[in-house]
Amino acid sequence: MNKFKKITLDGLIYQNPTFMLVLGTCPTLGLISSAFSAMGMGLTVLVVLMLSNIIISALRKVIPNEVRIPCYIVVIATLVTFARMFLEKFLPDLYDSLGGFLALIVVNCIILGRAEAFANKHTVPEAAVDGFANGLGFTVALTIMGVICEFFGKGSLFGYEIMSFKIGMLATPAGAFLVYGLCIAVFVYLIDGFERSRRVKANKLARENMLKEAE
Amino acid sequence: MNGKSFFKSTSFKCLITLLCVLLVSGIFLTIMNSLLAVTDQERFDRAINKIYGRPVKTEAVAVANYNDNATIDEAYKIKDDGNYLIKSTGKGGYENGTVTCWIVVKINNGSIGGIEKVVIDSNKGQSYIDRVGAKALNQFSELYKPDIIFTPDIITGATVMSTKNAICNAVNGALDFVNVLCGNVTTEGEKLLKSIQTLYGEIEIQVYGAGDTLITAESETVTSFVPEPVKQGNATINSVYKVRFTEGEKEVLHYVISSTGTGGYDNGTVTMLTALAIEDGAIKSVYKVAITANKSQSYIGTITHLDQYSGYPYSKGLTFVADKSNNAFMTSGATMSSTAINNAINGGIRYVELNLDTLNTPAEGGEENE
Repeated sequence: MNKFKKITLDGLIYQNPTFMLVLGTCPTLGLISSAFSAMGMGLTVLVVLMLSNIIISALRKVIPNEVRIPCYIVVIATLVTFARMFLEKFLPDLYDSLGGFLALIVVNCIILGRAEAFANKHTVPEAAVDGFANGLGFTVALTIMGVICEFFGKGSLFGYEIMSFKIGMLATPAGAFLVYGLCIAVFVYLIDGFERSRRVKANKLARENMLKEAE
Repeated sequence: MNGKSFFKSTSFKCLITLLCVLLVSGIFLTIMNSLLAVTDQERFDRAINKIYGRPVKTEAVAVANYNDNATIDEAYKIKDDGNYLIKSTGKGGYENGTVTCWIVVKINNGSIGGIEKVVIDSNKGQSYIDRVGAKALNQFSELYKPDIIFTPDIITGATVMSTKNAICNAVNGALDFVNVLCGNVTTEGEKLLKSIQTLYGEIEIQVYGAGDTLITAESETVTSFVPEPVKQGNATINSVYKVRFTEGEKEVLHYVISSTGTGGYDNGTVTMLTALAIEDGAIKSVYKVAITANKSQSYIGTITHLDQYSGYPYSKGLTFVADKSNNAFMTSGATMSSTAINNAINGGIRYVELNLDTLNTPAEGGEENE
C-alpha cells in the first residue's frame, strides 16, 4: 500500500508536473486566464494520462523497444481524438474554450513523459495510480493559477463576475507567466519548509533513539 | 536474409505491432466517430441556443443582398415569435476586414419592431474585436428607431472605430434585408424618396425624374436625368433628380446629384448626395450634402465636417479642396475619405455646371420648370 501512497504523493506534490518538473507549460500559459478552461484542460489531461498509462502498461511486454515511441504516440493521439469527439459532443462550451490546445495534448510532455518513464516499467494498477496522481497534480495546479488569474485579471470566478477591480495584464499569457513563476516559488518554498521540518523531526527522533541506546 | 528469417526478425515483429496498434486505433476511432459525430443540425441548434438562450424552431429564408456594405449569409424565421435571425457579414473593418454577426430582429405587426440582440460570430483581421463588448453591442437594441442607419460614432464605449464600422454595416445590412422581407421597402420610388428626404428633414418635397416625371412612393421604377452613370473628373455621376418645395410663398428648385468620388483610403470610394440650390436657372449655392455609401472607408463614421458645405455660395468653377491648416473641407484622421467626399461633391457640381441648359429645359408633356 505504501508503494501507491508514494506514487500518489510524487505525482501530486514531490514531482508535481507543473510546479516541480515545469512540464506542460504551453497549455498552462495559454489557458490559465480562465479558471473554467484551466480546470477543463486539467481534467482532460487527467483522463488521457490515466488511460494512456493503463494501455501502455498493459502492452509493455508486447510492444518491441524499437517502436515503443511511435506506438505510444498512436495510443495517445487516439485517446486525444476520442477526448475531442467526446467534448465536442457533450461539453461544447469547454471544447470551444480549449480551442487548439485540446489537439496539442498529443504532444504534451507530461503524457509522453509518464508513458516512457513510468508506465512501460510498472504494472497496470501502479501506472493507473501514477496517471491519476500526475493528472490530478496538473489539474490542481492549473485550477489554482486559473482562479488567481481570472479573479485578479477579470474580476470574476468561473465566469461569474465578482468585483469591478481588475488587473487586465493578469488575464493575458504574459500575466499568466508571472503568476506561474510566483506559484512555483510559493510551492517550492512550502515543500522545502515541510521537508526541512520533517528532516529536523527525523534527526531529533534518531538522536533520542541513539541516546536511549547509549543509556 | 531469406523469407523465413525475415518473419522471425525483430523488424517484422515491430512492423506487425505498429500495424496492429494502428488498426485497433483506427477501428476504435471509426466506431467512436459514428457514435459521437456532431451533425450540422446540432451545430446550428447550438449556435441558435447561444444567441437565444433557449432552443427554438427555425425556418430558413432565402437570402438576398440589399446593402453594398454587407452580405447576408443566412436568414431564419423563428417560428415561436416570428422574429428574424440573420447572419450578416459587414464590410469596411480594419484593413478591409469583415465582421460576421448574428442579429435578432424583432417583428411587431409585420414590420421591424427593434433589435433584440447582436452577437459577434467571427471576423477577418479584426485584432481588437474583444474591445467591442456586450455593452457596445447592446446599444444597437437601445438606439434602434425606424429608418436608423447605424454609424460607428453613435455606438460608444469601444474605441475600435473600423471594427465598429464593420459591425454597424452588418447590422444595417440585416435591417435592410428584413425591411424588404416585411414588405416595407417595396418600390424604387420609396427608396429614393427616403434617401433624398434625409437632406431635407421635415420639409415636404417633391422629387422629379427624367422627363420631369413626379416620383412618388408608389413609383415602381425611377429614371434620373442621367440615364447611365457617367464619369466627371474624379467622380462618377450616378443620378440627378430635381427637388421642388415651397419656402414661404417662394417655389424653390434644387438639383440633387448622387455621385461616387474616388481617391479614398485603399483606393476606396464614397458616394454622396449633393443638393444644389437653383435660382433663375443658375446654381446659387450648395444646399446640403450627405454620405450614402462607401467602399473600404473604415473611418467614414468619424467624418464631422459635412456642415461646412451647407449654404456654401456657388461661383463658376467652385471646387472644394481639403485644407489641413484650418481643417476646411476635411476631417482630421479621415483625410483620404475627405478627399473622396470632395471629389464626389466637385464632380456633382461640375456635371450640373456643364449640363445646366439641358437640365433646365422643360420636358415636353412633363411638369414645367422654373
